[in-house]
Amino acid sequence: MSINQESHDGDRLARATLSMQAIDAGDLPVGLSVRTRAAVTRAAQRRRRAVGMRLVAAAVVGALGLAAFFTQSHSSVAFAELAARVNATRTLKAVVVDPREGGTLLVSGTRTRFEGNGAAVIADASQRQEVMLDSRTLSAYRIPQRGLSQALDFYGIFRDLADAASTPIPGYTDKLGRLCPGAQGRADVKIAGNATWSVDAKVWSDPVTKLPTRMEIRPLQESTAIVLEEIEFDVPLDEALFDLTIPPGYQVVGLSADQLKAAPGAEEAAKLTITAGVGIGDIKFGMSRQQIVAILGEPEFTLHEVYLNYASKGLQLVLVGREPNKLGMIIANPYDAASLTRHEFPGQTDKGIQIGSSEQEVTDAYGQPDPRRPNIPAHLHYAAYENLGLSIGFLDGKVSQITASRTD
Amino acid sequence: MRSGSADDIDAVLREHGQAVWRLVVRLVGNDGPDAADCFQQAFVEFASLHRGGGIRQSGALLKRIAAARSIDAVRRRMRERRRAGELDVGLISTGREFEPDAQAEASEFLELLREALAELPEPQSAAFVLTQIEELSGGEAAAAIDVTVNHLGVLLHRARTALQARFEAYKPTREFKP
Repeated sequence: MSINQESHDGDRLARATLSMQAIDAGDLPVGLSVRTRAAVTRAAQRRRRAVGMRLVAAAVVGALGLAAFFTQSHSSVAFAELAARVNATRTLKAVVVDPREGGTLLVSGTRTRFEGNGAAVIADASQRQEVMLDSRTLSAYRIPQRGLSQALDFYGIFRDLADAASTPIPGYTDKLGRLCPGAQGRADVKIAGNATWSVDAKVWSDPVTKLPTRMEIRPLQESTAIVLEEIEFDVPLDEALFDLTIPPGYQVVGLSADQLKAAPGAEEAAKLTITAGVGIGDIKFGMSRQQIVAILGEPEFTLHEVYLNYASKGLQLVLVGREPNKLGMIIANPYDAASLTRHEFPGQTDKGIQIGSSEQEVTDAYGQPDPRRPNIPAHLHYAAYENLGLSIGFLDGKVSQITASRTD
Repeated sequence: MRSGSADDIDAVLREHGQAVWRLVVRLVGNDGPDAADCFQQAFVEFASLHRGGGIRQSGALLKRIAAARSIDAVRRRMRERRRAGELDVGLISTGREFEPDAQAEASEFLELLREALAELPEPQSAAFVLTQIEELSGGEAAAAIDVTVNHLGVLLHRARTALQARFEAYKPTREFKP
């Protein structure tokens, strides 16, 4: 290439750079800031829930991987032998590699502890109890049984997954330079109630002990896999790691079951009607805390000053949005860790959608939802109507959450 | 940022929203939903990076994230066009024949730059966008990319070399008058 040609190409790059700089983007579109604030708030809520979900996922990974391993094109006799080998173990320790919520998973029988990102989730499936401890804020959350804890029974899940199909895959070289044989399988994992989570799982096993050393799980339609590495069985684990007692210095956030007020009666529930873009009942978007309290009474508890929780009504009102400290979001059936001790939202939308409505009923009422966003995990099923400021979450094909955001 | 704090994200939006919007539109255009999507994704990702601590008023970091998400969007478009069989070395010229030469040439070069940036490794594209398009200082850009200023220079050199090679290989869809 001649010097002139090189200079010419450099000119083109410079002209392209100038063209890009000269683009007139115009003003930030009206409404985009509001939608962005709402998206940030929703993401923060999902993150508060994520640690718990990751624990579920990690336990499921292990169980799936084991199932896939033990069913890999061997006879049922071989499977039975290997299953017995795993069932003979008592504890498990693994590193969970996940770009969103990695950490360490410890399992001892029906008890599980997941530590990551400054938080620990401790669950005991046999006692149906779960606590989350956030060491960054010294906050503790008692998470009631809502179908998730049963998924934390590592060995129980493994037994349920014995039928997962599998095929051999290329081996994995571990830190010691040994080639660990692998297998993969696909299964529908029961995560809550009758809800299932379809996943592809891969597992690699120790060539000597035949026990799994590495596993990958990828929910269908998601590009990112959760990985369990450095899996060890029968490691000594201190009993204190699985203690469900709230440590001194931690503040319990949210309500306990005995603090939860009675659910509203039919007359009061009828007033809890969500109208997209408007509000709920007499509560309108843009109202202040004082105006809300004048209608609904004092919140049953408050988080970070802006999350007003009416747990007996299954309702959370969030002071977020274009105007500081004004109502910008309404969440029926909040699922963040602090809000799980609550009654189901007894109200409905003005188009008749309530908790338990079917997807078809939602489509009939609001039309086809917006295209699914790629950054929403596949197992979280939402129907979003951005122009209405409405997002409806589903679990097992039924409405489990309704979120309305301010749109003006 | 207190986790999900409305006040903090409001402040960041007020301070940096317009600049981030401008960057996103520069990189993806404003003729579809991509710009708004990238804008939202950038703020959500930025907020998630700051949970547990105070949000730093870091416009440079926001721009780096916004640039990465915008370039992701360009890559997706390129893949879709390739799937649709529309893309011939990255250019669509529908209607361009009716544009004045200078405008058509600028459009082609602009589109070529967007696609060439999408082919660079992320640290290189970030270095180019932050310093050459957004005109941040070396220190600001290096901090946002989490490299030393010296290494920023290396990234920028590599980015320029690759971009110039892309322009060298490029053949305009028609001859533009000088």
